[in-house]
Amino acid sequence: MINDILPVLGISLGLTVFLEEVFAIIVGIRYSKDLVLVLLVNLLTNPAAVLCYYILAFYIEMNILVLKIPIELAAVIIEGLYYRKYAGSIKKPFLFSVSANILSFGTGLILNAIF
Amino acid sequence: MKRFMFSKVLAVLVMCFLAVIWNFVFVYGDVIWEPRDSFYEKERENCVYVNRAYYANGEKGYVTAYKNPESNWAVADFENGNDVYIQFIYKDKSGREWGITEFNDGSEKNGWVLIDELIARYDHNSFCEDHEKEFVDYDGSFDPDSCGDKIIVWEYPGSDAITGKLYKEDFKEYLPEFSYMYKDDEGRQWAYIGYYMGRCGWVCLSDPENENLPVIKVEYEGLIPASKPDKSPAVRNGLWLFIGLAVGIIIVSMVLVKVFYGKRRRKLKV
Repeated sequence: MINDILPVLGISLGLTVFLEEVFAIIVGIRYSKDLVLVLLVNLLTNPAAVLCYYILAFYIEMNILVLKIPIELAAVIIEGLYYRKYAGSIKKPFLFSVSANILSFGTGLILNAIF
Repeated sequence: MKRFMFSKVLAVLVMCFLAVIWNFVFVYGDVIWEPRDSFYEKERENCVYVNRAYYANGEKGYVTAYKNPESNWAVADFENGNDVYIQFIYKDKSGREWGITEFNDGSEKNGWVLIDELIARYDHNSFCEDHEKEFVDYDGSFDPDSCGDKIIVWEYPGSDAITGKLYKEDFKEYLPEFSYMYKDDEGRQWAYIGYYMGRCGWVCLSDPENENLPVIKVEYEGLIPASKPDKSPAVRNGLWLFIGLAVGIIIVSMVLVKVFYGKRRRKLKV
């Protein structure tokens, strides 16, 4: 079972952090502390989001996408709040959070569709 | 430069939006519905279409559906006696047969179950296995003019399941083509339709409109009493370890943010 859990957590977290860091650089964030903040904020939200989705998927009989969307919304809000409070160079923290999460969420869906 | 970057980001976001839309498109077979399952898509050539109903009959009193035949990740449990609908069967390297089933709870989840832990529900296939030697070629005796407006189509002679109805007005287009016939123990004549306007099954030529024909009760051997598993699939998959790891990572992250960023306010504007 451990062989199934660690890849689930690791791949999701690793991919999310990579995509959001790249997105941060693309949109012009160069302040190193803010780039580290993106990493830490995703460490905070991604495992929790994966865990919530995992538990809800087992115990609630609903379409998978319907479960993912409210979880992602909660992650977007939490990340936005952290960026607003702690980021030095992210001018629009909630817009950044929404865009970064759409990118990571959508990329995950594309990869799921391909593989 | 900024406009170029913006258009790149926009292109990626559009792709992500399309990916979300794609998730609503799940039927891509011509006629046969295919499951959205990564293992099935990888092994499609090695899967046989069955589309058959079974009863769960596991030794422990329940049957577990797994993520795929090569995984120990439990997806759901079915207590013995519950219906399990199998669309395709895959045989693994050790010769065990696995069937893929979709859960009828609106979740669109799939799982793989061992066929050995299921009992096939008595259906048209089972009836043919038992009575094939008694089938004779269709003799052309069906007379649509002597029937009423509605003809009942049964799963098999003696079944309680009606698979469809034929209406007299449909015969104006073309008549049903019967494949073979069978005479039951009470002398009733039956004929089988492979396909007619989306319907297939058996018509009782002796009494085609009767919806209350006698039902033959099927006795199943080797039924194992149902019982609930001790632990849920989530717990068996290591839920507590998962929770521990996630909580640990969250706490460490919160502490690190608090320590290194403290009560920092936004000072830099780029």
